[in-house]
Amino acid sequence: MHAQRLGMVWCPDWPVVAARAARKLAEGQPIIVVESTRRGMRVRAACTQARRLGVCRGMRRREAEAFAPMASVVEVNLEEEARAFERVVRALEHFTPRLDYEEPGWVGFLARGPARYFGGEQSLAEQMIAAVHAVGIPEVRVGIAATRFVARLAARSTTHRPEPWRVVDSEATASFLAEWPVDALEDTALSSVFARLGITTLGALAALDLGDVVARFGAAGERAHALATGKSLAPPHLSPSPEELEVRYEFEPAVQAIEPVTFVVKRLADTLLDRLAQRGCASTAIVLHVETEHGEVTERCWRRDLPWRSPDLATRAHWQLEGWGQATAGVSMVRLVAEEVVDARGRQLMVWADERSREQVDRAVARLVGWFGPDAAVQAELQGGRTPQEQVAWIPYGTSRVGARAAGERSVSRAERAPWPGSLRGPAPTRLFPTPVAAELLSEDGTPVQVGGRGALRGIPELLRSALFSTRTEEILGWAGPWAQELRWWDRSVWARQVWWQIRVSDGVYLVRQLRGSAQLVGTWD
Amino acid sequence: MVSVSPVSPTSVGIPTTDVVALGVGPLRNANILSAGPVFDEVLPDGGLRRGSILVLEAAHAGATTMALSLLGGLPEHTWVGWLDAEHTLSGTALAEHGVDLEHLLVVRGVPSGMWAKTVSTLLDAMSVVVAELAGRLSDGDARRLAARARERGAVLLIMERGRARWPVEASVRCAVESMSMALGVNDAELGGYSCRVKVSARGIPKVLQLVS
Repeated sequence: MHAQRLGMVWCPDWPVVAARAARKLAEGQPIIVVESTRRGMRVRAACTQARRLGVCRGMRRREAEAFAPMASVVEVNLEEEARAFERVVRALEHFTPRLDYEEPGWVGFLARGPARYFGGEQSLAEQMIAAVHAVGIPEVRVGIAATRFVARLAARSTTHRPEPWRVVDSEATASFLAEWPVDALEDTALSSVFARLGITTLGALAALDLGDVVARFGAAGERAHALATGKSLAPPHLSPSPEELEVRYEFEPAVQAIEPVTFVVKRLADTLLDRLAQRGCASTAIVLHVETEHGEVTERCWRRDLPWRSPDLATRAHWQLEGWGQATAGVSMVRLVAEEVVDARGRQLMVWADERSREQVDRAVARLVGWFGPDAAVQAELQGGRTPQEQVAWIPYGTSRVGARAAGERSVSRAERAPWPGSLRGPAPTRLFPTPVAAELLSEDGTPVQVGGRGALRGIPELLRSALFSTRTEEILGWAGPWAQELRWWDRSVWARQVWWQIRVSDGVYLVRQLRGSAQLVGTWD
Repeated sequence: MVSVSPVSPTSVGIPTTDVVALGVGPLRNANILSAGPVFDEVLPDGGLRRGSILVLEAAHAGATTMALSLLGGLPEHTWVGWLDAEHTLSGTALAEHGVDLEHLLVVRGVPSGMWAKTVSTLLDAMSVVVAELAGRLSDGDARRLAARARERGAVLLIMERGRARWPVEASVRCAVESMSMALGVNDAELGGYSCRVKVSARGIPKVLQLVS
């Protein structure tokens, strides 16, 4: 399998570019874009001149005005940003049909195919930049690397370099990431904790043991560690069937306004994400497809690193429709397809009063595994088999069971409905010895009890002898069986007969197996 | 308590209508975790009270069967941790008793020195923890675990193995008085069991019968 290559196109300070274009401000006029947050009006973006005067992101409006009194201060308008970005997207659609969007200013693409066609990654990047320049956007940067996160950082790193693009080879990922500060994770809460712990660079974070990071920070820590080591986030998990990944709604009659469409998108997203959540999944890439009565189509793949939530998708739908703006008829159909499905780890799956979150369990297991090794925390999975030992597989917690969620119930019920031919029936022993304990099954005169070809007994069981009993030899108080199983009857050279007994002695009831002339205690009913 | 007249000791097979109404009806308290109709009838609060400790003991055999029956009655999606000290728990028996295997974590290979720490870790994450007590436990460790369970709202089931004893008080004590198995009744199947369990909490002990 080829390693993935991903590219990111970045238009720096997009809010500034969009606001300048919308208000037709002169090129030299400094501009500051502010947004209203819970802590008042804050700077969202500022042009280079204003930044040189000391304005920075997150600063209070008043402060920013004091630093740059001549700048025009404008309020953010997300629809405007999205609509303006449409130009860039159109220019890039020429290179690859599959673009991924997250927010205005950033577009991602799968780089392997287009790079081959356009003469290499470097040449692709140069041609893309030229195409964006051609539609009147002077500032654009491209990064190409092994993961989205690295590509994003590569694009950002070009601000300190002569050429506006940067290609990071897959082998060079670790050395490229090592020097970045942990702030690059864009998880303020986590990176400030890391910084206080003395983990200031991604390299330092990558050097930590994954188990330790998960034990301390849970799913967020796991994500950060994966990013810092240049791994792709949660690999696609393909258990739900295709029809479950798609929801659609037809408008009758068609609607002209955008609001009803975004409202429907939100409801569709709720349905789709709920359906995935019930399978323990979430989606990080969703295709939003909108059609008009005249058959005009807009289709976009919205992608981000964190699983989508329905209000965010409704916003994206609004942007997409705002930017489209060329339809000649009303919208007749909306369709949402989950393009990429991942395990919903670290999220509460259902609102059962008693559902502890998977993240808590993950943390507990990470600690236990750290103390006792990977086989210490296991889960039981039913499988086919004739004996109690064979019927269950113990698998380490968290080991991916491929299709287990989708196929699990089916296989369990099949195992229950159709017992394996020749399996032992009746209540299974509650305890099985990890290694069977040697024993002797003796008749009255002290000779071993034997079972003939047709189940005929030679001798009546009277005594059971084993090191497990404090008395060494126990008198048999009751017994049931024997049940014989032929092992590998198809091959004469390894063929064997296995005989099972249920035997009661004074301290309990044991499951006894006779194989090739010797007896063993296999389990007990406790 | 509503008018369930506990005749002591009674042999309980099928729950009476009164108890069903009390046990699984809309009166159910969020602090009480149902352990299935058979157990709910004899448990003091009509179920497992979150944050409480139950001790499971058996003169000879039957403690595991009792624990499995309790877990089998829990609501779906209840996370259960089981500290399998002897590494002998049978998965087939778990499935037969209807335990939710997707939400069961079994921990093995725990040295006796780490027993209390492991149980405490499980109490952090799980709703119900079954801990097989094989060695000696100090009063202090036992009290700390009890406090942990109370703080986390988890139910701790202590299964006393061999001569080991839970050193401090417990909310409920379930003792298997006798376990008998009917061997050779049906030639085609392994023999079934029946356990007689005495449940003592505050008030008069109650008796229930578990049958395979």
